[in-house]
Amino acid sequence: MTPSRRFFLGGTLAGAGLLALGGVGLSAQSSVMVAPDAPLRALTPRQFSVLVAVADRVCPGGGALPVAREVGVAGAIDRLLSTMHPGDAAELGQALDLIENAAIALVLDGRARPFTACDPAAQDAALRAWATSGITLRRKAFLALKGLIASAYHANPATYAGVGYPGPPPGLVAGGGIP
Amino acid sequence: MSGAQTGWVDASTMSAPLSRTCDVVIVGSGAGGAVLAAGLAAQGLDVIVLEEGGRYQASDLTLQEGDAFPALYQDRGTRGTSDLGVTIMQGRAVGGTTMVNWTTCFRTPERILAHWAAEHGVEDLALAPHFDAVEARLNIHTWPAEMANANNRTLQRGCEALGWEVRPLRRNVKGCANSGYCGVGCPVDGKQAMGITYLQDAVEAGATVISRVRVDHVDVAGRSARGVVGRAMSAEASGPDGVDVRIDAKVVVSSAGAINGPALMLRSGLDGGGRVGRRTFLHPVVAIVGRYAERIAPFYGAPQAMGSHHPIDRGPDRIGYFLEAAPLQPMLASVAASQIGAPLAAFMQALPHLSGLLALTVDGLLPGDEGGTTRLGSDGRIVVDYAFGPAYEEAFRSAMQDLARIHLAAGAELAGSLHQTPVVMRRDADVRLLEDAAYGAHAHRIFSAHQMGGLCMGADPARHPVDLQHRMRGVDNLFVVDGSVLPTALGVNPSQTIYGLAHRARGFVADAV
Repeated sequence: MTPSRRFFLGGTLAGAGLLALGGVGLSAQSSVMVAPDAPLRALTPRQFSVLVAVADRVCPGGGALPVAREVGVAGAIDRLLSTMHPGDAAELGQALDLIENAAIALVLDGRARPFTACDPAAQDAALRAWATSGITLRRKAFLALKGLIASAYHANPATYAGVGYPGPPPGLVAGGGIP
Repeated sequence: MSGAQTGWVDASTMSAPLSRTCDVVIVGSGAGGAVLAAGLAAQGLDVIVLEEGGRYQASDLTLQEGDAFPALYQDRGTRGTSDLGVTIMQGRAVGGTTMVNWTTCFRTPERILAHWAAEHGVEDLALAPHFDAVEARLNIHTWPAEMANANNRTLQRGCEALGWEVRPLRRNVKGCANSGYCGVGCPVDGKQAMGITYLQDAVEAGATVISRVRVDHVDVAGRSARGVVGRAMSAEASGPDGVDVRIDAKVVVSSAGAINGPALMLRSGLDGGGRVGRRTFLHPVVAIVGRYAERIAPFYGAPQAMGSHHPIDRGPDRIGYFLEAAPLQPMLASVAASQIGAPLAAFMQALPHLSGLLALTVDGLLPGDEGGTTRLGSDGRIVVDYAFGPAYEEAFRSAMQDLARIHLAAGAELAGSLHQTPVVMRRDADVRLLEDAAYGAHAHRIFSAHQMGGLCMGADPARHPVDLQHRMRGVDNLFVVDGSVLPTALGVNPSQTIYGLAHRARGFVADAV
């Protein structure tokens, strides 16, 4: 990446941040908050609520598959983040804050509502915008969220039946011997 | 030190600072450190091995991916390149990556050894007797073709239909249950991982293996390494949270592996004139998934049983690659999938009928291909930068086309890429659809299960921070014995090369005590 390109990307995000600070009307719109089942260890309540909303779009369920919030995906990610370098949790939290911020979304994507206050179709469009953004940082943030959410969801035994995975053969677990 | 614990020790349970003296301290208990420790301990040397991860035995394992990846992999299973373009799977446990690898073993290819001799001055390694020894100890042998699961038989069937070379792989297993759980820790001690082989040998010969210690740095004064300094770290901690650890030793060895090994040197103030961390190789992996009418059950059975090196040599200007299968348990499959929402669910609901095939590109061989760079971030986190140029884009495209042809020749209903918008192919003519797709980081999923280089061995002090006897140049009693010394990627799974090099390095390290 050339220095000018890097400066451009940095400038874009910095400019959006300044607009966000100034755009009181937009950024003051209420987030739709979701209460965690357990005390949060790494994320703020708002970040957790955004993560719940994003997870529900990454893994919306259907058929025999539950929706992400039914299997506690956001809580599992919060616990995982608490075992990682504090910088990892901080960066993911910042990404969630940016996704939620309506002023930044208006500048970058033409979306004027916080992510959590959008309907599912608008949320899907927002995530597509992050996934396909020309800004490396946004694509990276999308990949981080998608990876953590899909992992937490599909590692949960409650989702095994829905994908036809019978799980570890019981005879193999905990020294049970070869079946 | 009188009264000190010996054998298997867990530093996270200690309440008083740990200070010990020994002949050789080895940082890292994986394929390099374990083989070295066993050899040195057998010679009567006082050896301490330090390992950041925990010691897990078969009875500790749940075989759940959600438990295994945070416990047994680097960065809780989330390691990646700085732009997250490559997902890096690397072990973090007693036994290192051997705790979670898929057991595929190869001797170092002759063409690679010839390249090292010509381009890096790495000559006369004479690894054959060392390979003989580790093959005997680890029971490395060809896995019977009839034991291959359906996921591997698609690779075999497709290659045979296309007239391409394909053969059964060699594995370090004894009493393997063919369960398919290598990647989450073997539940039956069938895999001959370091924890039940060379590390066990080392402990029986008097060595001490101390787990849950994060080594911060090597204490270096001038040309001499005095020991290592670190702290204990409990199982769920986000960083060191336990007692201070200091081990003084006559000889210090980094066996921390590619990525962590170069980072250890950088934290120790050793940058090798800017060469430390350079030439980090990942065998960047692309995949194509096939959907079959019949049940594949890619989550069961030995992960890798068949392999093909048909496309390994594509001429002097092109990056070669080799082909193997990927086990698909749900979590790993969902990470591989590039989509979200209903398309992700549809992908996952097809899981029992999916077969995952991989192409591993061989980095570091073309002129000017320096691979990636490992460095330290401003907050101490380890950063791996890796940029893919046009040669990789060509190789990724060619590799995906080859894998798609294999799936279709093997009878797949469809073959799909892991692009953000997958390229779906139902007949051979559709393979050309891959011509129009984008390639590189963020265009499609890329993985690494093989980390190499970063502290490259070679004859030229200006280019190679490690000499031909594994000594870190500039420090007389500091050695590097692990995959980070490899001057290029291998074109085969690296574990056996690391075992063999470590077996060879025993004499060099012992002579320095």
